[in-house]
Amino acid sequence: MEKRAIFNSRLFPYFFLAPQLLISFAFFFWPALLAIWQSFQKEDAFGLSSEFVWFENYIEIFKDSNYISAIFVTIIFSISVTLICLFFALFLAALANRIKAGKIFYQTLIICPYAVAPAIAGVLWFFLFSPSIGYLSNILHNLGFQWNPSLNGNHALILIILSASWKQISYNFLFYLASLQSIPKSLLEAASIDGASPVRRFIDIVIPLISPTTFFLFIMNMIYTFFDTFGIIYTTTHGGPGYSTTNLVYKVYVDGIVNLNLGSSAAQSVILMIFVSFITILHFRFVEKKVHY
Amino acid sequence: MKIKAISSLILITYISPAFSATDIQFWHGLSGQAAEVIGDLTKEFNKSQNEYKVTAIRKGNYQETMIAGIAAYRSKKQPDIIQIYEVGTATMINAKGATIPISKLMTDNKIEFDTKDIILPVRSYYSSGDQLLSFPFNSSAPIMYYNKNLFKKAGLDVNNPPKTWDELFLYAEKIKKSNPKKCGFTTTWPAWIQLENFSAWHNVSYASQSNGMEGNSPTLKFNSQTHIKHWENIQKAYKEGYFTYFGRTTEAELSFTTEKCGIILDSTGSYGKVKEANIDFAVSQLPYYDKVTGAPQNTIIGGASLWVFNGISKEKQAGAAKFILFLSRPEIMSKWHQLSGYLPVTQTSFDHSKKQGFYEKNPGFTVAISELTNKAPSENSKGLRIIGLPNIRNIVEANFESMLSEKMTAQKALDDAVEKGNDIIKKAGR
Repeated sequence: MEKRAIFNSRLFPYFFLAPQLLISFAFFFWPALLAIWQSFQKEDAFGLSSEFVWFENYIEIFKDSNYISAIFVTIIFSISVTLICLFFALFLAALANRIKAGKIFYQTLIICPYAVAPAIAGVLWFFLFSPSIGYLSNILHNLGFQWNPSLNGNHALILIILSASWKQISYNFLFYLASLQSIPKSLLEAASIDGASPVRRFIDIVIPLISPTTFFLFIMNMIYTFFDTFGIIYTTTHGGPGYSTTNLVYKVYVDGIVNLNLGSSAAQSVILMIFVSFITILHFRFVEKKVHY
Repeated sequence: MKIKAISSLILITYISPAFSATDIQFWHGLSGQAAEVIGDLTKEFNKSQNEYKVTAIRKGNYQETMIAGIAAYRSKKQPDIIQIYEVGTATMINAKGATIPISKLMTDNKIEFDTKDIILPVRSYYSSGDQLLSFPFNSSAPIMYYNKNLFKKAGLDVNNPPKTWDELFLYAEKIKKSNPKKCGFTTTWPAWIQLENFSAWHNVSYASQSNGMEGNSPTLKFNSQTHIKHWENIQKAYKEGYFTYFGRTTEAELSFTTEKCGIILDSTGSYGKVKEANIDFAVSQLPYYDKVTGAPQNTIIGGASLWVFNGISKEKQAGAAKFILFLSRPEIMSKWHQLSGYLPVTQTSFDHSKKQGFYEKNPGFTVAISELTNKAPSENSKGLRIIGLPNIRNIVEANFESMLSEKMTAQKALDDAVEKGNDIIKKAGR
């Protein structure tokens, strides 16, 4: 018996694909094309006059010292958030997987932060750590630690890394828990009969088996820190102090919305788009091969 | 059930008046109490006549409102009236043909509108020659608020607030010494208060060509010795602990309303909010350096104004004109002023509030007006009209922060901002 769906018409597959293609075109390809077109233009805010300037916008971006600093901020921010998320999510998932009583209760609690909108998460952490009224910053002050994210760049960076991670850990947790549950019991039992300690079992059996999930989450976290963290930065630090928390996506916003420099803003989003496509392709091409499925 | 619901819906549609009022879209960027008052004022206008129906829509903060308006204009779906914050003024003026000047709108619709009634520092900010470009609906100015309780605890005279910067630093130091957990003084809007208004108040140039009011290629000049000295003093105050910094916009307000800070420099637009906090406070005029000749000059306004977009129908233009005329009426303007804390921008509305005895009960409200009209505006204090000002403000704010955290000296912070800012003006102006 052959298991194959047979379409009589050649057009049929296209018909089924059409809704997805239409949506992709309207919400992704068309805006992306417009952004590329815009990035070669020098235009006033109202679009009353425009001039085709070839690569001038791109050249200016790389001459801008603030852009270079935004690249560094993005790298530090993305790697820290990704590592923190992966580590804590795996840790929590391993614990939650072993627990006997009240499993659902713990799981629900850990997943909760994911339901919080980025802006709300930002405001929450802003209030906790705000130097003027923050609860946690008061505690830090009383301990003699001069906590001041509104002026100390490192403090501000720590603040946004914490709030971005806090929100994303739940998402990672969910995937890790699911993948831990799908590990065959027989493998773990066989290992323990052979005398492997729980730590050994975790390192030698669990971690390789969940590596596809880790790989998937790594990419998702990178994309999250690149694009979804705007709300957190906007509500907590506004990219400051100085430029110490201005990452690439926040700079796109500042140049486009605040400074009304649409050409430069478009050029920056095109660079971001290329960069993210690049890391995605790179990972699927090379890293995936080394991942054990 | 369903049929009933649908038929009643149809019925409602039929019952509503047969003539249709022209709909006027009004986008604004205010929140809280001010937004509520705007809602009430439009309702009052809609009730006063039945030809036009104004819908006030909040589009986010000032920045978001401006970008929403621009995006709408580009896709030819512009609102009829839009509120634009004062730093966006130069961008709006430069977008020739995108808006209809208020003076022209009024003469086109044969409405008598006395622009001379608008007080001079405000009128000149939003005019080109004799032509009023936008309607200065909400104008504010920076003033000093101080906490009487903390003054008393520090042994300071509550009826004698600091007049000069030297005194202010001294007072702040005393407040800090009396209780190390408190902060001496703080500021909101550092770029607007500690640089833009500082320049006007001390009659020193922010930029050439009368700060851009008389030409469109100004060069920034806010790195003079007076500016540098002031920023150095703030840096020193921060280092020694009697100045505390909270953020670029209104973040510091919370520290004043929770009685953490003794003195704050803040906009008049916040008066309503501070009053709601129920603390024992008073307001006074901005401090100045008595060694600088000509200080104090006069302050320049902040806030926003209303612009009418071009490309809307004649009917809508007439409606927008009537709505603006309505807002400028003395009783409406003084109502707005008294409820929100923004300035009464017309002479008649000021007189109206005075006649009502409002200032005897609320003496704080006159401080900003007397600052604005302290002297006839000089070439340094008419206002700012610089393309790319939002961008320049960002740089100033970032450098202010870098200076406080001692990544750069005051001199370097201002020099760098001038250099980068001039670059922005050059690029925008071509």
